[in-house]
Amino acid sequence: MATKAIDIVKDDLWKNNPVTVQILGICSTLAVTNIFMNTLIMGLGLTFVTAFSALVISLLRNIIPPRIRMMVQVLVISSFVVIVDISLKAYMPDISKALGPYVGLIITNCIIMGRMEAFAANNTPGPAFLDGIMSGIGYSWVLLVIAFIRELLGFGTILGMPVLDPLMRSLGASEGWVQWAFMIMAPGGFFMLASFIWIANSISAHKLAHGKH
Amino acid sequence: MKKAFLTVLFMTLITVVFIASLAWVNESSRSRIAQNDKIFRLQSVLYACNLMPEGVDETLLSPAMTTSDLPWNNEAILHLTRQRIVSVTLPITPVVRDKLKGSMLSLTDSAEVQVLFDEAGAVLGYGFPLRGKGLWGALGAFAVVSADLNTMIGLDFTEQSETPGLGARITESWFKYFFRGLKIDGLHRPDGEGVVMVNRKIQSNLESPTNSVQAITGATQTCNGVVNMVNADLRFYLALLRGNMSILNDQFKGVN
Amino acid sequence: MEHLSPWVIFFASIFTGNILLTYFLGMCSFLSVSKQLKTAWGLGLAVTFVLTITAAINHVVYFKVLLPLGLEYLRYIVFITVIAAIVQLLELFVERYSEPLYINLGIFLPLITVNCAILGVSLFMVIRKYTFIQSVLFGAGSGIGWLLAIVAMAGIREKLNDKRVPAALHGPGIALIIAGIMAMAFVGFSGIVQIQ
Repeated sequence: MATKAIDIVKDDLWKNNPVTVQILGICSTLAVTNIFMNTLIMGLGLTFVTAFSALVISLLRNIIPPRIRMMVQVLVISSFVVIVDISLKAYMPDISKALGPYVGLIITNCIIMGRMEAFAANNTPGPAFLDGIMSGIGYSWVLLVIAFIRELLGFGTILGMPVLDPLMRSLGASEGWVQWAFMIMAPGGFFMLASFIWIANSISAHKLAHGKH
Repeated sequence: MKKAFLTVLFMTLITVVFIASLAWVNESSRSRIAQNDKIFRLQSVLYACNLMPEGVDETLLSPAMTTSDLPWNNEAILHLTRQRIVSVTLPITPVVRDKLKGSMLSLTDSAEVQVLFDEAGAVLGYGFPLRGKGLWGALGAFAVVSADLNTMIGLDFTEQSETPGLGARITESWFKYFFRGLKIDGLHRPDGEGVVMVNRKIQSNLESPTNSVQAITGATQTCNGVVNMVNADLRFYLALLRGNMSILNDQFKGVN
Repeated sequence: MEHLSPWVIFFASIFTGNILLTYFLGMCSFLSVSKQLKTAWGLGLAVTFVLTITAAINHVVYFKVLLPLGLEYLRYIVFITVIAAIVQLLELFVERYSEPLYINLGIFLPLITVNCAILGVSLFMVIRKYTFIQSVLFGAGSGIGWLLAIVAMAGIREKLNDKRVPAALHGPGIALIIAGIMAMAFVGFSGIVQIQ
């Protein structure tokens, strides 16, 4: 049981990473990663929904008729998302304003659906829940790295605090830092993700060539 | 056939369970959400009126700050609103209605306008809602103009669903700051130039009054939506206020 | 929204407001299924079909049922369940009438359900308050726009098959870069036509 848990963790975080290897959850990767804080909130939201949806689907897996499998899965997933959205609106309205535009993107996030189909529908609740959490974290860490760079180059800020502008000014540039608008807009997201995959694949190939893995 | 029936039964059951839980969550948080929305709207109104929490100076805060970041407490919001803002309903007479052609206002008999007073009870300005269209969805704002109807005191957004990091930056204080002291006298003439958007502004409109505000790079559609909304709705409300100036002067002369 | 011609919406949603290259919805299958032209066509047509039908059904459900009853908060669930049902029907249809396409599409046929473009179109239709005809043409146009994008991508990728691409960029990596360049090109279209 312990080995299996470790496998789940390693798989979801790197070897079978939802974003860089399975190429899932791309819509949100592009939309959310221009600001680090929004990415963090999105990652937390997604992890929560994936974990608990996996739990419910796993508990119900033996009584769901096969033909309507997907309908039941989307029902469970979307219910959780809307419950999270309403609860945030009531108790944490500021965070809800940040997450608001992304509610639809969480419901249709292929990662959640993918994990339900690939894992939760065929495994016991414990591992399913863990897989849900780890998939969420696997997604989140990749996005946070991309978001850090996009926010830094796109806005010159880290977590909303201006960093590059004061730096450039202190180095003598009178105009300060000029934003890379390209990084804030979607094409920047495409290229950042492509770079990430390039690096990730190169590292994997390197490891393979040198006998590790 | 039995299989199909069981399948439909299962689907119906599970749908009922989940929708019931959702309905329960929705009902139990309805009043809280309504309260949050009310406070949010009042915060926007106060921001547009250039009223800040006790001891807070807008120019000293972070430029990326939004209205909900201001350190208000709910009692202060309600107290200030009651003390400084009064709602008044203005009739839309045929003379005024003529000028409002094409606006949704021309379909109604009256419109509600907020009157802003200073501490001594003199009229500082008038506030009203604006509606427009952004890139992703509707734009809603609240605008306050000065008592002489020639400059803007401020503006805040009550509704927007624009791209976070791009269009959504219209809610940031650096963008809204340009609406303070903005010249709107062009909107009194049918062919007058309204508010325009420029790439870069060196000075704020309080330092050097112009009719331009600064655009957001990469958010052209949203910015166009904002400017179109301001120009269209301001034209109508200014006409409404001009047409009812006598009523307003009578009602609020010598009010304490 | 009554004054906006449905055909303007139709053409605008293909070119100037392309659901994939302007709003960046529907990416996952776009990147994964665009390796072969034939499969891309198949998926594109399937998505267009689902988009048109669900736009029609969801319009009726939202404006005639949910709104009058004050149940707008259920729209996400209702929309996605309708989409899931239509995709399920589509899956049965494709399995029966085109076995090779069914096999080629694999998991991406059922994954049409979670294509953000489809839910996105239904949500846009609600926000922009389109009429029924406008919604149907909006759905059809968005579908064709998506089809155009994925077919273009497949064409480019097939052409790149025998070119030298860095090993680590093979597959999704190069697809993302192509998509990025296509997206940059489409920024030029933005704002040409107002469809709301």
